[in-house]
Amino acid sequence: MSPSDLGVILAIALAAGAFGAMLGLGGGIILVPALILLQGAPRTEAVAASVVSVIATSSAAAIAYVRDHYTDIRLGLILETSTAVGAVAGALLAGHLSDRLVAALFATLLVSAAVSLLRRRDEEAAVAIASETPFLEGSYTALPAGETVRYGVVRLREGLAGGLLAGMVSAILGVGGGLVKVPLMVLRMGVPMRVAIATSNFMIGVTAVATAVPYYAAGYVNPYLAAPCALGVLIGARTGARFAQRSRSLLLRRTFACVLLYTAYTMARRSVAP
Amino acid sequence: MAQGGLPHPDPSQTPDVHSAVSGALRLGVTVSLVLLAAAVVAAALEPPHRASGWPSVIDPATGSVRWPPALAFAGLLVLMATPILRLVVAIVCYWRSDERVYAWIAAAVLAVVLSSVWVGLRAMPKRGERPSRQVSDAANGAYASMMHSSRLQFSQTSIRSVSCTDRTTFKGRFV
Repeated sequence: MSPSDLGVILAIALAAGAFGAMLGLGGGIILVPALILLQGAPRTEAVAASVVSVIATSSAAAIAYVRDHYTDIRLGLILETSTAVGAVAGALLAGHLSDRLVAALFATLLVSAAVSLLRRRDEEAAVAIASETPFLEGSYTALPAGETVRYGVVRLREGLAGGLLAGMVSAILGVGGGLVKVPLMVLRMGVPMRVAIATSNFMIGVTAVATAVPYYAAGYVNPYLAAPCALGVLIGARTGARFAQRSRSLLLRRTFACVLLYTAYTMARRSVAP
Repeated sequence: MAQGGLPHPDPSQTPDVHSAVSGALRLGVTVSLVLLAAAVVAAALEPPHRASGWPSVIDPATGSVRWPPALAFAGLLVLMATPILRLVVAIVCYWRSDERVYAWIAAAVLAVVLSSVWVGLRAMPKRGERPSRQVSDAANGAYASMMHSSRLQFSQTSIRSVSCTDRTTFKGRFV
């Protein structure tokens, strides 16, 4: 392995891990195109390395997120049940629905979520849901100030329905569920942005196992590519988690909204592509 | 038991779940980190001629173990087992802390994940194999489901076309 190639792969993986951990996404949005374009990796091997790296992102970031109570494990488990069912339903429906129509609808949904994330603030959302009875309560210590933030999670049914939808859309279009679940938790369930990111991060590692093991067993994982990727992501994700814990919620919201808008753009292009 | 029909515990009374899950994660990540770092160092030191071709654990020429892929596969295996471990730890902790509804929910998630793994193992064609039409269709369905899990964003690709055409491997940059 040449040192320059090793350095490039590790740098890509560090960035992908930090980015994924910071926003509660897998990091595949960076890893797959970068490995293909910068390293000339075949698509299958890039995807396989990325799938394994999603687990690395989730596990490395979750050490700090879970320890510091940013991750709402109960909420994550509840949402994961409906998302998993939605994914199975989406896989069954994939051949019977118009890919373009779903992509167009999804792009609209993402733009709407991005605009809401940019316009609303945590404090406003908290006031809006204060009158509702929470089905879960949690708290975390906000860094760097060290203040304890308490929150209540509301609208269980809406969350389960949203998780189901997220799973279906993700299965049909191949986009990450974190893109749907983070805005869902923040905008509709009263979950603070940092908790939503940490909880999404926790969930993606569990579900990514379902993808990674078949890739691994079928021989698509190239160890010379996946090992440095996973190593870089493990290190980058811990850095990204620390940054997310200390950064302002507004910055995370704006960055996430940009990712939503970018994804909406790619979905819109897909819906009109010949 | 409280509003909404779900247990409504005070988080401060059940800190062991978070610390136990975080500990399980730290264990898995540390072991995989050590193995993967050793694999990367071993690969960097490996003679160029040995790194050509699809990397296998056993060297076909000599019959000896090739340590870079062996260490990498071991590290990746530990990494993939870590989320399962944390689910098992969560099940045990919630069960012992009398929040059994969450233990059941975690068990349901684990069952769905393991079922998906089983379906994926059956549907995914081995690398280099030409799948039958039936297998290929099943794989495409599973592939769509997997894309959900992997949280990737790229245009959908047929498993059939991948498995039949993707004979090249990522090796050139390492030799």
